[in-house]
Amino acid sequence: MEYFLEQTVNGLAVGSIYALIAVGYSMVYSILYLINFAHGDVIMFGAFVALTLVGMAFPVAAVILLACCAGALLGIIVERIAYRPVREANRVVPMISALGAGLVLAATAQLIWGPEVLPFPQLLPRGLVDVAGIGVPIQSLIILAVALVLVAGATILLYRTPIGLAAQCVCQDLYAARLMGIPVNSVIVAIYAAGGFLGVAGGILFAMYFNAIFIQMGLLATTKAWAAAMLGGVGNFQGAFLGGILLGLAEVASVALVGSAYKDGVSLVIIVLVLLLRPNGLFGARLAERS
Amino acid sequence: MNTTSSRRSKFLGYGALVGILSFGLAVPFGSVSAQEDPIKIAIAAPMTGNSAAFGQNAERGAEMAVEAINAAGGINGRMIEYDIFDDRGVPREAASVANAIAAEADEYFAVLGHINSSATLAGMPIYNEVGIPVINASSSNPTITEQGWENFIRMTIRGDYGAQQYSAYAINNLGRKKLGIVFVNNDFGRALRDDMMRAVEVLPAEVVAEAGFTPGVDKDFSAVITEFKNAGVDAVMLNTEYTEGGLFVGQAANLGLTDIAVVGPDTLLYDSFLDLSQGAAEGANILAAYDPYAENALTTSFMSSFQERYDTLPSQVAVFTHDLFYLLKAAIEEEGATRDTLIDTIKGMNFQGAGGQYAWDEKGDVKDRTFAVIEVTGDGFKSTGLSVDEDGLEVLR
Repeated sequence: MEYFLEQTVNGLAVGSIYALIAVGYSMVYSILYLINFAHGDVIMFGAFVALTLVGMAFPVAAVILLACCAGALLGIIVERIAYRPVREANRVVPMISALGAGLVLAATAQLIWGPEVLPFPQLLPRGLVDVAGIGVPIQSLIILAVALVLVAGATILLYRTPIGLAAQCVCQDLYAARLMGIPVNSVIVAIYAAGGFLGVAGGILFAMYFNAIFIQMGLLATTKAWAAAMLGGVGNFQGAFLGGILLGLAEVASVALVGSAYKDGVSLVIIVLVLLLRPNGLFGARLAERS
Repeated sequence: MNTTSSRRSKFLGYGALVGILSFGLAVPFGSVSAQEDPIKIAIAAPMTGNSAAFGQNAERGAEMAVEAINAAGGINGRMIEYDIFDDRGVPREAASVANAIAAEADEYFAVLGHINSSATLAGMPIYNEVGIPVINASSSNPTITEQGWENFIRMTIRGDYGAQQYSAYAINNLGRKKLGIVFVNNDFGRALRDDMMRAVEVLPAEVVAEAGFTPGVDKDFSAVITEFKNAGVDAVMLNTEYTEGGLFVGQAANLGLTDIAVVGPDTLLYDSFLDLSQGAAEGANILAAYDPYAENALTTSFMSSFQERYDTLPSQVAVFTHDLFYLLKAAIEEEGATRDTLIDTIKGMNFQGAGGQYAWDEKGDVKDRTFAVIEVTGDGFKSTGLSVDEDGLEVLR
């Protein structure tokens, strides 16, 4: 039982990191229906910025905030350079330009920070706290809390603020929204910025939890975010969050039940099964009804 | 009858005369050429392709040894020369390289190579056919010596014996009973795990948990660590590269898996392992094919001059290649080995090189040689001077 709970905590910790990354990814998709292939690389870049800031002896809170803002800025730049010019083109075009933007980011990061796996400084204390008789890693608890707070914040942003409502309108009909006087370009920029912000927060947690930061982290993050979003229902904001958590739990379950060698295989099988049985993802029904 | 016999004796006489003449002619020419002809060695190694870093290390080891030996007058006055043949680390290429060397077999005193076991396996039948001796640095596949070649010796500890030593160290030296094995999930990693398990069975101890992972992809070991903790693992056998090894140890500290022994191979012998573990690697035991921190003059002078020249630590390939040239020198100068007797001579030798003490068994494997134990301390790696206690492994040999 204790073992089961400990593994669940592991799954939740990894899952909430995936969830944060997936949410930023899904945000862009749910508004624009564009797959943001540069998302993972924005995250990786932001996490490296955090690494550099730590090296410059900034306080922890400032490091995280500044790095997340750098992520937001990168999101905006990617939107401006790789998306806006081709927004009206065939949907494949922005996908390709995003891939290109991701490659440029990855190559730039490699030029600056090198191709090696680097240690990521421990910004949070190591060790266990006792929760109802189970030793729970402090880091996992903080990760869980940070993820919940950020996703709650993003939900409020998207559903309770003027800019969120404007984003909903853009999502329903971009042209009608523009005719109604909604500053479409600013709204889209805000969405990309929010996606980058959340993503980098996830990226920093990711680097901290694994003790490591590396260039391929971008690709890894995109893959996990994509899998989580598919699992939860593509384009469904809350679904992506739950999908991320589920993906983390599925990975841990496959290690505990089948063996670590089959981790990726088992979690991908789960995703394939979900998509076979529920092509819109576990929480994607609403979207299907609407469209 | 008489005439016949006299004819025969005359004939024999002429024969003897011709023989003496040719001998008389051959000796001066022969000795002149012996003084001037270099001893040529064919090095077969991957200079391009995925294993190119090994080839580079072999070249550096050779470069350092040959320059030093030649500067000191060569081997019995003969200079050493070597030609490098690029096998790209691929068996197919290794076979064609072997054929190229075999075609000029008389040119070369010996073949030094290959690096990758699969390449050595591909080359051996070809070298054997032309009878050229093969001295090998780092191919550890047990099959090579089990095939019974009589023209082969190697410097590295064969893979299965090495794997058994990891287990033996945790069980015999450290007194651990519940092992958790982490291994790379490919054929190499699985073979290593199987050999470690075999040793665990005879030593009596238990493997209570094991975990394979995909190299370069898996970075999250939290679920594995929790599993290890739950299984009561008291020694982690960390058969990984330094990246995954560092991550594993660091994450284990985060999850409260402490007070366990960590035993790993020399792929962990990099500063990155220490950096990535963020202090959690302290106390880890690394079993290395040679002891780079050994405090004997041969090792320290080689290590420092190598580092000075190439600004990096030599890998085992560099050390073993370097030592092979000195072994060659010792075999020829001190034991009077010729090309034909080289391998048998070496098998009877006891040789001290930069990589430690070497002796060989009938198959051409090193004997009485175990991994060197290196400990991670607060400020880096430190030699313990220990060797692995192989008690109980005899039944597997």
